[in-house]
Amino acid sequence: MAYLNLDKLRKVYPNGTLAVQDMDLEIRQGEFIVFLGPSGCGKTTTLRMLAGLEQVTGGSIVLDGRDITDLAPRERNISMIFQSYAVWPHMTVAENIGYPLKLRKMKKPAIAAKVEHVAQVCGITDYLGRYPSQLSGGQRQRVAVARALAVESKLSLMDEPLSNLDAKLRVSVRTFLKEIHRESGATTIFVTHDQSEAMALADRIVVMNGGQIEQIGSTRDIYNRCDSLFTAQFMGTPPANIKNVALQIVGGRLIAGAEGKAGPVSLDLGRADAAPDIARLAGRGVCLAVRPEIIRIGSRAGINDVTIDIVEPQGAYTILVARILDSEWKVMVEGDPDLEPGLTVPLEVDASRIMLFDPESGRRL
Amino acid sequence: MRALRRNGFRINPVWVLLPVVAYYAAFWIRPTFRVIQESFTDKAGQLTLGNYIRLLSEPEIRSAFMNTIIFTLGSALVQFVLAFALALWLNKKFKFSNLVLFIALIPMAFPPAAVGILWKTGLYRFGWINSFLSSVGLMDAANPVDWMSFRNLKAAMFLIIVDTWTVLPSVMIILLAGLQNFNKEYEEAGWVFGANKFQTLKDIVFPILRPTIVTAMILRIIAAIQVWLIAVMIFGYNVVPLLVERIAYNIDVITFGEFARKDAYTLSVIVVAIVVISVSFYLRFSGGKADDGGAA
Repeated sequence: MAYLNLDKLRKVYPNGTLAVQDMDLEIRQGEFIVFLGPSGCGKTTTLRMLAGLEQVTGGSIVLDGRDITDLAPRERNISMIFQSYAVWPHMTVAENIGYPLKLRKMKKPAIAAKVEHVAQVCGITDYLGRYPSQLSGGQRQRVAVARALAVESKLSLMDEPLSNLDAKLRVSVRTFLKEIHRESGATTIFVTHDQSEAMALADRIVVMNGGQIEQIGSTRDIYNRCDSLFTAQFMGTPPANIKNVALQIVGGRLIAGAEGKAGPVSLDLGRADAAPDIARLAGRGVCLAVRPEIIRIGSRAGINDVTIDIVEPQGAYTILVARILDSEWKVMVEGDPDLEPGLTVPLEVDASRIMLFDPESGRRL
Repeated sequence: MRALRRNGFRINPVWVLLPVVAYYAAFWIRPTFRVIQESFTDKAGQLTLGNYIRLLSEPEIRSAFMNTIIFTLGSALVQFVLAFALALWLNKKFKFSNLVLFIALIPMAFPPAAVGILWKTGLYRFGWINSFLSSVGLMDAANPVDWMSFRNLKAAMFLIIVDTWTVLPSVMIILLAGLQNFNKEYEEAGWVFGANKFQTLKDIVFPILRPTIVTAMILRIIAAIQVWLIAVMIFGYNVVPLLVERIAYNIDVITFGEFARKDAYTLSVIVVAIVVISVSFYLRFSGGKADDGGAA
C-alpha cells in the first residue's frame, strides 16, 4: 500500500475548465516528488487539492491509510511552502514558526524549544525576533521552511517555492531544501516549471501536460528515456532537436532522410550495428529526437558536413546552431572550442542515445 | 540677466508654494484662529472660560454629548461588522458579485436630504415601514407604531440604522479594496497550518488588514461625531440633540439669540477637540505597529 495514493483524481473548475484529468499516482513514504510541467498543466491545482485548498471534483486522495479527499486543510496534517512564502507579516519569525504549534495546543516551553531547534536547522536563529519586512527574500524562504518543518506533518507541499528568488539564490536554496529533505525524510511534493530544479531535487519527477501525467520516473528516465515527444521537447536546455524522418540502412549505416525545401536532405547516424534498437525500426517513418549533447564534431570530413550559423559560448559548454535536416538544430559541444560562424564541420551522432517516437501518437517507439 | 539655476528655475522653487501658503493663511488658519479666540472671549473681548461653563451646564448640550457618544460608538461598531461581512462576501467573486457590489453602492449616491425624506416617509403612522412590518406580520396594522415620537436613545438607535444604510457602502468599499490587495496565501497558510476559519480571520486577516481597517474606522468616527443633517432632516431641530446639530441650531434657528454665535464657536472647538482626542485614542488602542501590514 502506497503512503500517498491519488486515485482518478479529477478537477473541473466551475467555468468548465478541466484542470486535472483522472490522475493516478502512488507515492512512497519519504519520497521527494516533483510535479513538472508548463503553466496550466494542472500541477498547482493537483497540489492545492492535496492541501485541501481546492475542492476535488472526482476521485480520491488517501494519505497514510486515511481518506483525506474531503477534509478541511487543517485536518490533513500537512505543511506547505507557498510561492510568496506567505510568512505572516505581522508576526515575528518566532511567532510565525510558533503559531501553528500554538494551534496544535502545544505547551509554551515545548513551542519555544521546537522553534529554537528548527531555527537552528534553517540557520535563522539570529532573526527570531525580527519581522518578515526586515528580512531578505532568501531569509523569508528559510522562515517558511522552518515553519513547515516545525509541524512535523505527514506530507510537505511546496508550490514553486524558488520562483521568487534570484538565480544565484535559487541554486543555493535548492541545495538547502535537498539537505533538509535528506535530514527530515519528510514525504515531499514540489511543484515547479523549472526542469533544472526538478532534476536536481527529485527522487521521481511527474511530468504533467494538459491535466494529465505524461511520464513518471527518475531524472535519468525522464531525460534519457522519454515516453513521449512532449517530454523530449520539454526537458533539456536547449530541448531535444526534433524532425520527422524516414529511417533507412544504407551500406551498413543508419540514415535519416527527409524532404527539405531544396530537395532531399539526410543525416548519417553512424553504423547500424552500433544501435540495434534503432536499426530495427529502419524502413519506416519516425519522429527523430536528438539531444544537443549527443551530437559532436566528428573526425571524418564528408560525413554530415554542416555550416555553423551561430556560436553561443556558455563557458563550460558551447551551443552551436546549424541547419541539419533542413531544420534549425542545436548542438552542444564541451568547453569553449575555437569555432566561428560560417565554418563547415562534420558531425557525429551517438545513435545509441537517440530517441524515436511515433509521428502520429507521439509515443516512444 | 541672472543665469538659470541648474534645475531650470530662475528663483528658489520653495516660492512656488507661496500661493498655497497664502490660501491656507487666509481661508484656513485665520478663521480657525478666530473661532478659537471667540470661544475664549466674552462679548467685550475679555478672556474667559464663561462660554464653556455656560454650555456645559445646559441640559441639551449634555444630552447632545450622550447622543453623539451613543451614535458614534453604535454606528462605528454596527457599520464595521456589517461592512466587513459584506466585503468578505463580495470578495468571493461569485457569479453576480459585481452586480451586488453595484447595488450595494447605490445608497452612497443619495444626498443626506434625500435620505432624510426617504426615511421620513416611512416613519409616519401610515408610512412604508409600518405597512411593510404589518404585511410580513411583524406588527398589528390596527395598532401602528408612531416612529416619529421616538426620542433620545430610541431615536439615536433609529439614526444609527439610517446612517448605516447610507454610509455602509463607503466603509465596505475601503475594506473591500484592502481585501482585494490581500495576499490570499496568508489566509491559506493559516488554514493549512491548522487554523479554522475564525482563527484565520482573527489572527491573520484582521491584523494584516489593520492599516485599512484603521483608515476606514477613522473616517467613520470623524463623520459620526459630526453627524447632524440626517437627524434634522428626519426629526427636525431640537428633537435628537447632537453636538454639531447644536452648532447648526445656534447658527440657523436662533441666529440672533444672545449667545448663539458664541455657543456655535465654542461648540465647534469642542467638536474639534473631541474628534482629535477620539482619533488619537483609537489609534493608540487599535495597537501594534501600523507599518508592518504593508510589507512583504
